[in-house]
Amino acid sequence: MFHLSNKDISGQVLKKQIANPESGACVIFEGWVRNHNEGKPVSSLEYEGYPELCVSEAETIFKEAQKRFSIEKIICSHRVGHLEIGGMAVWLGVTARHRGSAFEACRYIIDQIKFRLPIWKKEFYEDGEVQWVNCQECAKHGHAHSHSMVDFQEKKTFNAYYKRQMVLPQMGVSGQEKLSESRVLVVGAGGLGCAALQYLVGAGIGHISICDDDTVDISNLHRQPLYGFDDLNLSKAELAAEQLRRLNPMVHIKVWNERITANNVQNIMQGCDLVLDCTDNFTTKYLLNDAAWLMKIPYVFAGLYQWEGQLMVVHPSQGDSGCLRCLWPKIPDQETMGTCAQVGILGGIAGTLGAMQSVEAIKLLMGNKPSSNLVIHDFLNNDRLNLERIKDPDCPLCGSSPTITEIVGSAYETNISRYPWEYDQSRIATSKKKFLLTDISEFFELENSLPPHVLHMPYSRIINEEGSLGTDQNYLFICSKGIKSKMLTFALREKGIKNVYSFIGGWNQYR
Amino acid sequence: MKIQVTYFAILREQAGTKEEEWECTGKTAGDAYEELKQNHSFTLHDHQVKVAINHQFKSMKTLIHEGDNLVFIPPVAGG
Repeated sequence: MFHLSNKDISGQVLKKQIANPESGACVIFEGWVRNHNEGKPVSSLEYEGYPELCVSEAETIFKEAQKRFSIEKIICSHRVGHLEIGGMAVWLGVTARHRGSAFEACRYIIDQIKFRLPIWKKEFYEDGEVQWVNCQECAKHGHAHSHSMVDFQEKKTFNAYYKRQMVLPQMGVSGQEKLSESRVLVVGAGGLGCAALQYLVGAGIGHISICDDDTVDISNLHRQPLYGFDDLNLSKAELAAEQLRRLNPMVHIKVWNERITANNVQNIMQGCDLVLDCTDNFTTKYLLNDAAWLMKIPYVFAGLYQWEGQLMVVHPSQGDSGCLRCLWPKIPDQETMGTCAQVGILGGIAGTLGAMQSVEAIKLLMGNKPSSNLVIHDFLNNDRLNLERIKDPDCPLCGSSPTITEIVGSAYETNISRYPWEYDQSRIATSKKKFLLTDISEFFELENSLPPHVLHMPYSRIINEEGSLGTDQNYLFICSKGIKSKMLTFALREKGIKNVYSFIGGWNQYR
Repeated sequence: MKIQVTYFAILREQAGTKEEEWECTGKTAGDAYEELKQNHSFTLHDHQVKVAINHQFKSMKTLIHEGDNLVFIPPVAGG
């Protein structure tokens, strides 16, 4: 509910109106008349509004906020008429079940109200001078440029913060304003995400959503500098948002502390101008590629493997360079491809690729033409391969007769195909075979001493030294999660070694 | 015919080299990949790998010629 009031606003009355039993949090913002503006002493001021438009625009803003944040009630009252120093110019209250969304929504609504509502301000200065000081730029353009441009103090901060990049001839003030109006979704706040997020937030993207359901593990820290030792087991998305707000409070950051799936992907992507794929698995990468294409949202892909990184931009409405599926049509089996956890990764490589994703994103948001290349960086040899992509007419997503026309959950379920050489405990119990349980962790990965019946032979030794395995035993490989043992068994069997097996789920599943 | 081959990611690891020269008996990029798959025990099938011939993405069915430069690229997912 919004109203323009020509009488004093009573915060107490409004607070009673907004109270509701569903809410556990209420965030209130009060705007007061201050005694100076742009260095000049102010004695009083007068507000004038265009009531019909104010009310309808405010209702639109409230609807946007309801959609964006999980909140219960919104009440806002804005003064018109003459006000003395210290008087209440605006009162805004937002209630929600939890404080996080109440804080975020309150900030969002007041910012939007300040630059979208047709309200003009006349300042009376102590030297007798009088001046209308509204955001004339907003009134002129009628578009959602940054609130920071409205207020002189904030404009000063805005200019000071971004001056090094606004100096770039391709950026300028107009490029910077485009960034301030943009909405970017970053999926994954890990090695790629930490770097990409810092540079996007620093560059002043207006609205950034972070989606990640993971928590901080000690093995993440070497490549994820947004987190520290104190953060172990806490939510990455929440921690990242907190840290990034310190870096640039002018950016609005929204947190999706959940895993992106076929069920929620469209909701999470809704309204975004661009999606950054900072995830670490094929299923999610293909889900993002597909959903972004179907929703006509540009998508910036990056992937890592040891000392290598791949980068590309998929643009559904510009150019003819196709999508991820034009290169590799089917979702690959994660277990035969490896992840950071199994194959290793250097922090700086993840950071470099993440920073590159932020640069591609910024160029697109400035209106540059999308790059049509797949760029493969080989950091071990300081080498780079640049390949021009072209749309595959047979692509299942973007080809001439696509088979993927909507997001169907079953297409993105993790591949749980089982090979005959994979065993769990019940299968071991009913099998006539005798197995030698063999832990394949590297020495530095071993956290506890192994039970006496378990042999230890590191992965690197088995794969590199032919004949390290005997032929008179059935080796049942076990690792922490069952991925590395599956990879190893697969690779050895391809080489013709048949007395090797993999324990499903690793030590996590072993009782 | 002799071709130049470059590998990336898991293929580089399984081949134990980034680049090599290969005496190919087949006619297409796919034939060359099958030979190399046998030789290096690659775990990926040809449909999981993208090939570039002389710095252009091509299909595995493309005919290859003496001196061609073939690059085999699997997708990577680490993040």
